[in-house]
Amino acid sequence: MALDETEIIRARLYGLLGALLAVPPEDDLLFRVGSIEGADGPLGTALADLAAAARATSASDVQREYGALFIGVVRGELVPYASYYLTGFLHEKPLARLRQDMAALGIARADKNPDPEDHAGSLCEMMAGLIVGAFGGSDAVASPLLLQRTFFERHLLPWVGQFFTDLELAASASFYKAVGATGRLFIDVEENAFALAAA
Amino acid sequence: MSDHTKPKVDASRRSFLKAAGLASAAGAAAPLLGAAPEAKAMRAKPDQRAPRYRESEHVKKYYETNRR
Repeated sequence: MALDETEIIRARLYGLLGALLAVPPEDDLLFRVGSIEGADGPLGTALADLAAAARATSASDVQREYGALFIGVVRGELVPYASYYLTGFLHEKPLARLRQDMAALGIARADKNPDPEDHAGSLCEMMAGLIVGAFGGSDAVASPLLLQRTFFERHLLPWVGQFFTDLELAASASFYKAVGATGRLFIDVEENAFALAAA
Repeated sequence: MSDHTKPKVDASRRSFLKAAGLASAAGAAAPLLGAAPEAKAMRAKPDQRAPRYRESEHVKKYYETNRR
Protein backbone atom coordinates (compact mmCIF):
# COMPACT_ATOMS: atom_id res chain seq x y z
CA MET A 1 0.00 0.00 0.00
CA ALA A 2 1.84 3.05 -1.24
CA LEU A 3 0.17 6.14 0.11
CA ASP A 4 1.21 9.50 -1.17
CA GLU A 5 3.33 11.25 1.45
CA THR A 6 0.91 14.14 1.92
CA GLU A 7 -1.88 11.67 2.66
CA ILE A 8 0.26 10.05 5.35
CA ILE A 9 0.85 13.48 6.88
CA ARG A 10 -2.90 14.12 6.92
CA ALA A 11 -3.35 10.86 8.78
CA ARG A 12 -0.64 11.81 11.26
CA LEU A 13 -2.26 15.15 11.98
CA TYR A 14 -5.67 13.56 12.50
CA GLY A 15 -3.99 11.01 14.72
CA LEU A 16 -2.30 13.73 16.73
CA LEU A 17 -5.51 15.70 17.20
CA GLY A 18 -7.30 12.50 18.13
CA ALA A 19 -4.68 11.60 20.70
CA LEU A 20 -4.66 15.08 22.26
CA LEU A 21 -8.45 15.17 22.52
CA ALA A 22 -8.83 11.62 23.84
CA VAL A 23 -6.59 12.04 26.88
CA PRO A 24 -4.21 14.73 28.08
CA PRO A 25 -0.73 14.13 26.63
CA GLU A 26 1.96 12.66 28.83
CA ASP A 27 5.59 13.74 28.80
CA ASP A 28 6.64 11.71 25.78
CA LEU A 29 3.89 13.01 23.51
CA LEU A 30 4.34 16.57 24.80
CA PHE A 31 8.02 16.30 23.94
CA ARG A 32 7.27 15.06 20.43
CA VAL A 33 4.71 17.81 19.87
CA GLY A 34 7.27 20.28 21.16
CA SER A 35 9.64 19.36 18.35
CA ILE A 36 7.21 19.96 15.49
CA GLU A 37 8.61 22.61 13.20
CA GLY A 38 6.41 25.29 11.78
CA ALA A 39 5.80 26.19 8.17
CA ASP A 40 4.50 29.12 6.18
CA GLY A 41 0.85 29.95 6.22
CA PRO A 42 -1.84 29.80 8.88
CA LEU A 43 -1.74 26.06 9.56
CA GLY A 44 2.07 25.98 9.59
CA THR A 45 2.07 28.86 12.06
CA ALA A 46 -0.56 27.17 14.21
CA LEU A 47 1.58 24.02 14.32
CA ALA A 48 4.59 26.09 15.39
CA ASP A 49 2.44 27.69 18.10
CA LEU A 50 1.29 24.24 19.20
CA ALA A 51 4.88 23.12 19.50
CA ALA A 52 5.73 26.22 21.54
CA ALA A 53 2.72 25.63 23.78
CA ALA A 54 3.84 22.05 24.34
CA ARG A 55 7.31 23.19 25.33
CA ALA A 56 5.86 25.78 27.70
CA THR A 57 3.65 23.41 29.66
CA SER A 58 3.93 20.20 31.66
CA ALA A 59 2.02 16.94 31.70
CA SER A 60 0.46 17.78 35.05
CA ASP A 61 -0.62 21.27 33.97
CA VAL A 62 -2.08 19.90 30.77
CA GLN A 63 -3.94 17.23 32.70
CA ARG A 64 -5.53 19.89 34.91
CA GLU A 65 -6.41 21.97 31.86
CA TYR A 66 -7.93 18.96 30.10
CA GLY A 67 -10.03 18.22 33.17
CA ALA A 68 -11.41 21.75 33.30
CA LEU A 69 -12.12 21.76 29.56
CA PHE A 70 -13.70 18.36 29.09
CA ILE A 71 -14.46 16.63 32.40
CA GLY A 72 -15.33 19.02 35.21
CA VAL A 73 -17.59 17.77 37.99
CA VAL A 74 -20.78 17.30 36.00
CA ARG A 75 -19.41 18.44 32.66
CA GLY A 76 -16.42 20.35 31.36
CA GLU A 77 -16.43 23.78 29.81
CA LEU A 78 -16.92 22.11 26.43
CA VAL A 79 -18.94 19.08 25.33
CA PRO A 80 -17.16 17.85 22.21
CA TYR A 81 -19.80 15.57 20.70
CA ALA A 82 -21.51 15.92 17.34
CA SER A 83 -24.95 15.24 18.83
CA TYR A 84 -24.46 17.95 21.42
CA TYR A 85 -23.26 20.53 18.92
CA LEU A 86 -25.94 19.75 16.38
CA THR A 87 -28.97 19.15 18.61
CA GLY A 88 -28.12 20.36 22.10
CA PHE A 89 -28.27 16.84 23.50
CA LEU A 90 -26.04 13.77 23.63
CA HIS A 91 -27.01 10.46 22.03
CA GLU A 92 -28.99 11.96 19.20
CA LYS A 93 -29.41 11.32 15.47
CA PRO A 94 -25.85 12.40 14.58
CA LEU A 95 -24.59 9.55 16.76
CA ALA A 96 -27.05 7.09 15.21
CA ARG A 97 -25.92 8.07 11.72
CA LEU A 98 -22.29 7.72 12.73
CA ARG A 99 -22.89 4.25 14.15
CA GLN A 100 -24.48 3.15 10.88
CA ASP A 101 -21.47 4.33 8.90
CA MET A 102 -19.04 2.80 11.40
CA ALA A 103 -20.74 -0.58 11.04
CA ALA A 104 -20.56 -0.36 7.25
CA LEU A 105 -16.88 0.57 7.40
CA GLY A 106 -15.93 -2.07 9.95
CA ILE A 107 -14.98 0.42 12.67
CA ALA A 108 -15.39 -0.83 16.21
CA ARG A 109 -14.32 0.30 19.63
CA ALA A 110 -10.93 -0.78 20.91
CA ASP A 111 -12.03 -0.62 24.51
CA LYS A 112 -15.10 -0.91 26.70
CA ASN A 113 -15.55 2.83 27.08
CA PRO A 114 -19.29 3.50 27.06
CA ASP A 115 -18.94 7.11 25.96
CA PRO A 116 -20.68 8.06 22.73
CA GLU A 117 -18.54 7.64 19.62
CA ASP A 118 -19.33 11.04 18.12
CA HIS A 119 -16.54 12.64 20.14
CA ALA A 120 -14.27 15.05 18.25
CA GLY A 121 -11.15 13.07 19.13
CA SER A 122 -12.70 9.76 18.17
CA LEU A 123 -13.77 11.16 14.82
CA CYS A 124 -10.24 12.40 14.16
CA GLU A 125 -8.93 8.94 15.00
CA MET A 126 -11.44 7.40 12.60
CA MET A 127 -10.35 9.75 9.81
CA ALA A 128 -6.73 8.72 10.39
CA GLY A 129 -7.74 5.08 10.21
CA LEU A 130 -9.72 5.58 7.01
CA ILE A 131 -6.79 7.35 5.36
CA VAL A 132 -4.33 4.54 6.07
CA GLY A 133 -6.76 1.65 5.72
CA ALA A 134 -6.92 0.43 9.32
CA PHE A 135 -10.45 -0.88 9.23
CA GLY A 136 -10.70 -3.56 6.59
CA GLY A 137 -8.85 -6.65 7.76
CA SER A 138 -5.88 -8.08 5.91
CA ASP A 139 -7.22 -6.83 2.60
CA ALA A 140 -7.50 -3.32 3.93
CA VAL A 141 -6.43 -0.59 1.63
CA ALA A 142 -6.37 3.13 2.08
CA SER A 143 -9.89 4.42 1.67
CA PRO A 144 -10.60 6.19 -1.58
CA LEU A 145 -10.69 9.94 -1.21
CA LEU A 146 -14.38 9.97 -2.06
CA LEU A 147 -15.12 7.70 0.90
CA GLN A 148 -13.01 9.86 3.19
CA ARG A 149 -14.72 12.97 1.89
CA THR A 150 -18.18 11.49 2.46
CA PHE A 151 -17.29 10.53 6.03
CA PHE A 152 -15.72 13.93 6.66
CA GLU A 153 -18.70 15.84 5.27
CA ARG A 154 -21.24 13.74 7.16
CA HIS A 155 -19.60 13.50 10.56
CA LEU A 156 -17.03 16.25 10.98
CA LEU A 157 -17.66 19.22 8.73
CA PRO A 158 -21.09 20.23 10.12
CA TRP A 159 -19.74 20.98 13.58
CA VAL A 160 -16.13 20.20 14.39
CA GLY A 161 -14.75 23.51 13.06
CA GLN A 162 -17.04 25.28 15.51
CA PHE A 163 -15.82 23.00 18.30
CA PHE A 164 -12.18 23.81 17.53
CA THR A 165 -13.03 27.51 17.51
CA ASP A 166 -14.73 27.13 20.89
CA LEU A 167 -11.66 25.30 22.15
CA GLU A 168 -9.43 28.10 20.95
CA LEU A 169 -11.55 30.62 22.87
CA ALA A 170 -12.26 28.55 25.98
CA ALA A 171 -11.52 30.25 29.29
CA SER A 172 -9.81 27.15 30.66
CA ALA A 173 -7.63 26.66 27.60
CA SER A 174 -3.95 27.37 27.46
CA PHE A 175 -2.11 24.57 25.67
CA TYR A 176 -5.43 23.55 24.17
CA LYS A 177 -5.88 26.99 22.60
CA ALA A 178 -3.18 25.95 20.16
CA VAL A 179 -4.88 22.59 19.65
CA GLY A 180 -8.08 24.44 18.82
CA ALA A 181 -6.36 26.74 16.33
CA THR A 182 -4.56 23.83 14.67
CA GLY A 183 -7.76 21.81 14.44
CA ARG A 184 -9.79 24.70 13.07
CA LEU A 185 -7.25 25.49 10.36
CA PHE A 186 -6.69 21.83 9.48
CA ILE A 187 -10.41 21.18 9.04
CA ASP A 188 -10.51 24.20 6.74
CA VAL A 189 -7.59 22.83 4.71
CA GLU A 190 -9.26 19.44 4.55
CA GLU A 191 -12.50 20.90 3.24
CA ASN A 192 -10.67 22.76 0.50
CA ALA A 193 -8.36 19.87 -0.34
CA PHE A 194 -11.23 17.44 -0.84
CA ALA A 195 -12.60 19.81 -3.45
CA LEU A 196 -9.32 19.37 -5.35
CA ALA A 197 -9.36 15.58 -5.26
CA ALA A 198 -9.53 13.61 -8.47
CA ALA A 199 -13.07 12.28 -8.87
CA MET B 1 -10.11 -4.84 -5.60
CA SER B 2 -9.03 -3.57 -9.04
CA ASP B 3 -6.21 -1.12 -8.65
CA HIS B 4 -7.63 1.12 -6.00
CA THR B 5 -4.72 0.23 -3.78
CA LYS B 6 -3.37 3.72 -4.25
CA PRO B 7 -5.94 6.47 -4.34
CA LYS B 8 -5.36 8.67 -7.32
CA VAL B 9 -4.08 11.94 -5.97
CA ASP B 10 -4.60 15.02 -8.01
CA ALA B 11 -1.42 17.06 -8.43
CA SER B 12 -3.24 20.22 -7.44
CA ARG B 13 -4.50 18.54 -4.26
CA ARG B 14 -1.00 17.44 -3.34
CA SER B 15 0.54 20.84 -3.88
CA PHE B 16 -2.35 22.53 -2.05
CA LEU B 17 -1.78 20.30 0.99
CA LYS B 18 1.96 20.90 0.89
CA ALA B 19 1.54 24.66 0.60
CA ALA B 20 -0.95 24.56 3.47
CA GLY B 21 1.87 23.67 5.81
CA LEU B 22 1.09 20.02 6.31
CA ALA B 23 4.71 18.96 5.97
CA SER B 24 5.60 20.36 9.36
CA ALA B 25 3.30 17.83 11.02
CA ALA B 26 5.20 14.97 9.47
CA GLY B 27 8.05 14.51 11.83
CA ALA B 28 7.52 14.53 15.51
CA ALA B 29 3.84 14.06 16.06
CA ALA B 30 1.94 11.02 17.26
CA PRO B 31 2.45 7.64 15.59
CA LEU B 32 0.19 7.02 12.65
CA LEU B 33 -2.92 6.03 14.57
CA GLY B 34 -2.49 8.07 17.68
CA ALA B 35 -0.25 7.47 20.66
CA ALA B 36 -0.41 4.27 22.71
CA PRO B 37 -3.94 4.29 24.03
CA GLU B 38 -3.66 1.90 26.96
CA ALA B 39 -1.00 3.57 29.04
CA LYS B 40 -2.38 7.05 28.55
CA ALA B 41 -6.01 6.12 28.88
CA MET B 42 -5.42 4.78 32.37
CA ARG B 43 -4.76 8.29 33.59
CA ALA B 44 -8.05 9.88 32.63
CA LYS B 45 -11.24 8.96 34.44
CA PRO B 46 -12.25 5.63 32.92
CA ASP B 47 -15.73 6.75 31.98
CA GLN B 48 -14.77 10.12 30.63
CA ARG B 49 -12.42 9.69 27.74
CA ALA B 50 -13.05 9.30 24.07
CA PRO B 51 -13.54 5.77 22.77
CA ARG B 52 -10.63 4.33 20.78
CA TYR B 53 -11.07 2.36 17.57
CA ARG B 54 -10.07 -0.78 15.75
CA GLU B 55 -11.55 -2.90 13.03
CA SER B 56 -14.60 -4.87 14.08
CA GLU B 57 -14.59 -8.65 14.56
CA HIS B 58 -17.23 -9.39 11.99
CA VAL B 59 -15.24 -7.55 9.35
CA LYS B 60 -12.11 -9.54 10.27
CA LYS B 61 -14.06 -12.77 9.87
CA TYR B 62 -15.47 -11.59 6.56
CA TYR B 63 -12.03 -10.94 5.19
CA GLU B 64 -10.71 -14.25 6.47
CA THR B 65 -13.47 -16.30 4.92
CA ASN B 66 -13.18 -14.38 1.70
CA ARG B 67 -9.43 -14.43 1.32
CA ARG B 68 -8.45 -15.64 -2.15
